[in-house]
Amino acid sequence: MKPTPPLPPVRIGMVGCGAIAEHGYLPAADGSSAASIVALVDRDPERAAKLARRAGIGRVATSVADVVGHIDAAIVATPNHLHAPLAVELLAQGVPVLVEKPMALNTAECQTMLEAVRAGRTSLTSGFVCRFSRSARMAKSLLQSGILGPVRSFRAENGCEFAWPLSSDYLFRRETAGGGVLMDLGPHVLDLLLWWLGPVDGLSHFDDSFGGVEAESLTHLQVGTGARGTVRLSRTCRLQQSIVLECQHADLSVSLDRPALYLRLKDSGLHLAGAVEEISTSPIGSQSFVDLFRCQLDHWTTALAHGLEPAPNGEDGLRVVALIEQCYAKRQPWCLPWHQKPPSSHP
Amino acid sequence: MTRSSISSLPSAPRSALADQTVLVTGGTGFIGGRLIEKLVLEHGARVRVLVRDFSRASRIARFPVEMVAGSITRPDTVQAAARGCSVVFHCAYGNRGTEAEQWAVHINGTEHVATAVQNEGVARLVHVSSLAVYGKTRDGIIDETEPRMKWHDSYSEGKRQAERILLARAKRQGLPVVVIQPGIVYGPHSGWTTQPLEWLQQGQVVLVDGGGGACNCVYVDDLVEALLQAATAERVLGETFLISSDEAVTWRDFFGCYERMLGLDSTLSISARDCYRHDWRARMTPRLVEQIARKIRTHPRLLPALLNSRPFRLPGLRSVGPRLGLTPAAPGAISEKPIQWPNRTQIDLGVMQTRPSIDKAKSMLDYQPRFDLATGMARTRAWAEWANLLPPANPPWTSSGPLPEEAMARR
Repeated sequence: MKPTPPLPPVRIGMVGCGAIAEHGYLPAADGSSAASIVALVDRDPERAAKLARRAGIGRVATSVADVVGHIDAAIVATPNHLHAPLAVELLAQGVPVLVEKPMALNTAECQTMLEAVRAGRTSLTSGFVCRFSRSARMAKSLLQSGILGPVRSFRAENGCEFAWPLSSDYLFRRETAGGGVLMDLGPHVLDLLLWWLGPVDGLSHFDDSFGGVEAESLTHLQVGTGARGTVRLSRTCRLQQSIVLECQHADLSVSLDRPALYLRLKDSGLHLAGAVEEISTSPIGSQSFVDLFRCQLDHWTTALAHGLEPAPNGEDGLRVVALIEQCYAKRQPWCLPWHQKPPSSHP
Repeated sequence: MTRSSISSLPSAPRSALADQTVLVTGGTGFIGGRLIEKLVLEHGARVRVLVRDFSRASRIARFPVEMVAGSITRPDTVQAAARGCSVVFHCAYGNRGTEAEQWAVHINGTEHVATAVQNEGVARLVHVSSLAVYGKTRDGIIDETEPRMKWHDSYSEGKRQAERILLARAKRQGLPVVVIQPGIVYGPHSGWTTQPLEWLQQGQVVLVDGGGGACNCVYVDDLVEALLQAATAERVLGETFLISSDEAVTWRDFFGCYERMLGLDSTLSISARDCYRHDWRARMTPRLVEQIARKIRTHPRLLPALLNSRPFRLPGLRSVGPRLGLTPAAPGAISEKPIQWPNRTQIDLGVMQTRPSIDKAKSMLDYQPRFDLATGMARTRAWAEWANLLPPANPPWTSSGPLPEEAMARR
């Protein structure tokens, strides 16, 4: 029997040539045999041309219409407010789309995107790259197996001093970003919690916005199983970068910045700290930012090549945006102790 | 979101800055950031910020401020940003990049701000200067008439030159400037908070001569109140004002607060003489090492003789041999908690007994410091706890150290 010849790589159009394209998708595709970025689209042609030269990509355009006939799929990684209109334009023409998080600014836009998926008979994937970390996948398997017992409570912390290279203020304006740190870091953490623990039943939300977009947020959640927990996000301070799940038989801490798990069995006095590795490969230790994007690209393009539904899909993206929308709807100001009025007179 | 939709604002009495358009340079920094918070929350001002690096704008983006892309080193962007403003608060200073880049912000930037204020008819420029413009001045109480002197570091010199430019323009061209000269500004987000907390955890902080020198600190909110008063007070154009707290605080007091926050005893007293000696060696050592390396390269056979030569027997060079891999490290040479030696300016600061008089600010700006060290540090502690800068009362059980295989890989 003749071996099956390898499938040709999926030809991808990269829409949006900002930092995530430069530091995430382009280097990831560079090392992938399943995906090949063949066109760059950006409203700034100089920026697109610069990245194209560096990555050896031949086609550059300022609108998606110019590349549709030359690509098999597209990644939309633009400022948040452009996710929905650009994705809809591509989906309507039958182009499968991977859209960066958050999927859109609100649930109405998400619904429009899902309708375009149905009309275009194509697929939509949400860019929840954290799902591809080995620690997140291992946690999912452990929780699914039931060996830790039911989750009773959880505590998620994600944040550090914001240093993402920005060329404009789009991430700091509600009309272009949709929100602050909750809309920025929140999708990753909330998607993991929804993936692991199921739908949220109730919530309260605090943040430090005073008419702009919040830099800090604290959300209390209760999931359908009854487990309660908190999600703290920050753009100004270094937090724990982990999600700790207190289960009936053990506590599990999942690192958000490296492929590591910490497991403490209750009543044993012992805990296990270690790296999560793939069984199929020799131990490689770290899993870089680009590695995560490569996993995501490979997973997505393999699904497309075999006509399968890619995960996480548009419904997953909608669920997260809906949860964020609820948080903002129930927003309460986070009173910061150092913002109180000064002492009335000299002490 | 519009200003009218701010729901979280506390009700404030009508301020002279209400609905005034004001420009803040250096608004993404620590003093500018707190100034913006107060301008929006307590004064209802329309705030415009000149932003050089948007990645640093998270804190001010919480407010409905107008962020204008630009830099004070680009006169066109400064001029455009100053258009229609009644007040410009000049908080920017060069703290990043090469010395030339820093100087461009200090000097050219200040020139551009002054020009923009004059060209656009801005009613007032409030400039954040520093007590450092007086250099290593005399002990005792000084006021704003004290001569300015050059110091060692580019920060002090940059502030001195920037102030000189503005006051000269005030005198010759009527630039409507008010200059504010604070001492050590501490509080949430301050380098005088984050760094001492870091230094004390990483090593032993030197208190020069026991830390009895004058610290001259001021809690950031008091400084910001002075800036706000300077923006609206009458008959203050062309004036400079020293700003400090109302009490005498020593460096021992100041670092003691941070030690208590951390639950550490991590300071040690070293004489000023030994500190200056160490600083001299630290500055001279790289030059000596370079000279020695050059000798070894050209005359390898001199190596054994060099290792026994006088420079290698000097106390300051004890660690050079091991670092170069030439001689074994002395037992105990690498301490668990290394001494955080002060540099020349820090030693000067540590020994000076200079205290600024704030009488002029009190009488002309109606400046009333509200925070003594205890109340200022209580606020600072609240922030530091919240910002995860202090060890948690209940440490998380998860390890933040290297994973087993990472530790193995380093061996």
